[in-house]
Amino acid sequence: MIISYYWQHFFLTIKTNKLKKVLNHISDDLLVKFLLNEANNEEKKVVDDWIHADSKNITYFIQLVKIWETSKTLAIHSSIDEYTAWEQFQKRIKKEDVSKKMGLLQRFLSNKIAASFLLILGATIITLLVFKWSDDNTKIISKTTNNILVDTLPDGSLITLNSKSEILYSKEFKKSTREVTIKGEAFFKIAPDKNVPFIITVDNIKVIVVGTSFNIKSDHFNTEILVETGIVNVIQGNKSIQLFAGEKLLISSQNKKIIKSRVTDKLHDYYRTKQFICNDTPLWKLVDVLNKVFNKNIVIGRDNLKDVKINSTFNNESLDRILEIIHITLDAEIVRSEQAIILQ
Amino acid sequence: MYKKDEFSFEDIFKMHYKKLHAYAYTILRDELDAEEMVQQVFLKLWERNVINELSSSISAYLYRAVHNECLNFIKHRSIKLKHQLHVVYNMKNEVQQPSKNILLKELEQKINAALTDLPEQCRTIFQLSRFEELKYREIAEKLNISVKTVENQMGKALKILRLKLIDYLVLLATFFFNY
Repeated sequence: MIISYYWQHFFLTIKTNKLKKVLNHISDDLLVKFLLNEANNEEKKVVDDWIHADSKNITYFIQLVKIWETSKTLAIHSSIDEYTAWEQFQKRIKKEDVSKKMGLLQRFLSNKIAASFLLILGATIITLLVFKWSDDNTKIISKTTNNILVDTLPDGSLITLNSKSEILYSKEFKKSTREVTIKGEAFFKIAPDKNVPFIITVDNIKVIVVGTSFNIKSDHFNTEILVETGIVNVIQGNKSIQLFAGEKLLISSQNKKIIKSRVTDKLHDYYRTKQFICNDTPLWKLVDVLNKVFNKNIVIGRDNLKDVKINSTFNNESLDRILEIIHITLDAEIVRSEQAIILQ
Repeated sequence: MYKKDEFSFEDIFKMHYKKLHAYAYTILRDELDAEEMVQQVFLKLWERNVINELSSSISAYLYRAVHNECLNFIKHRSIKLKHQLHVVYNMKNEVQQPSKNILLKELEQKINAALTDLPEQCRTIFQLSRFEELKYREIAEKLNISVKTVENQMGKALKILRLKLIDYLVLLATFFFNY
């Protein structure tokens, strides 16, 4: 490098003034092109020669570099997300609509003909908008009653729907987003596509992912999101929470309280794997799941039994067998009546 | 690039929102104001219902619109702030001893101010190149212009910036020879 520099220097100093003049008038376009590494080899050579032709040229070039480098610090990465922004935007449109209607009313009072014209025009625009905005894709609803359903979505994502749940989605997803709405409980294994976010709406909560697996459970009281792999973004109102693998989020639908915690057991997997995996799982939680799966009414009769921890895996076993194991390990009596099974 | 009706208004909104917000931010240096500008631009677009007519040059249109919206905003704001800024600026000059960091910080501010004065197309192309780090070819495609135009505009941008900042650059160089 140094040798070539001196060679060029030597070479250039013996060049005629005419050439020097040419070299002094290099275009800014070319310099910037060189700076941004957009120049071809021939152009690079021209600039390189020019830079070394005169110390003024070096200064000039360094000034451009300085501007270019310093300007980088002005960049930001926008912290706002486009989904929240879109929601705000929709609210604005609605407001705008109301004020437009007020305007129409005033005109109606002053000029009936013009008003009726405008009304027709307005109606046409609204109709057109409705047509334009409504998704002409056929909607698909999958519902379960007592069964469990495994479904593949249009993008190849896998979903396991627990009993008494439903999912709503378009036959074809949009180009920019993949959107579904669910009720109840479902396990998602999302086909990775970082350019097309997957958005699940559940009870006014939005869950945004690009390619992960997680479980969502929602009833009248709570929504629980539990992440098995990857990262999941949960948006509730104006709050956005990021969840990582092994974390879960509980959102109460009454007081909007949000609790984030570690996933300690794998019981949530029962409807997918047909296994009840209890790892320090409190009895009440297992009983909840058993009631759901076997459609029974099991009640814990003694309060001090509720939080007893269970460590066991029940693999495709019958309810009677499971109850028997509970009876033996916890020393709990099992009383069967017509309405309920009581553990005490 | 975008065919008619291929993208819904919502798609276009979500596709461009973040970048336009970053663009407005580099002009206004305020996140909330920047947000407001982008929302305004989309609101106007929605009201006029012309998104399909813009199909081939939607990016160019949006950047231009955000740029104009921001400049209008600055114009109104600057009348209010002119006096305050003047006072603050004078105080700064009296108190601070020149140090390299302060000079660099000031250079940053000067660049920011100079950027705002660039003609719209020039500014947008600079933005796409510098902050979104697109190649000339990508910028040309996005704005539906030729690569040659991008080249010219980038040259022009740096040339203007250099002329506006020359005093600072010289000052920096005389204080510190460590380039």
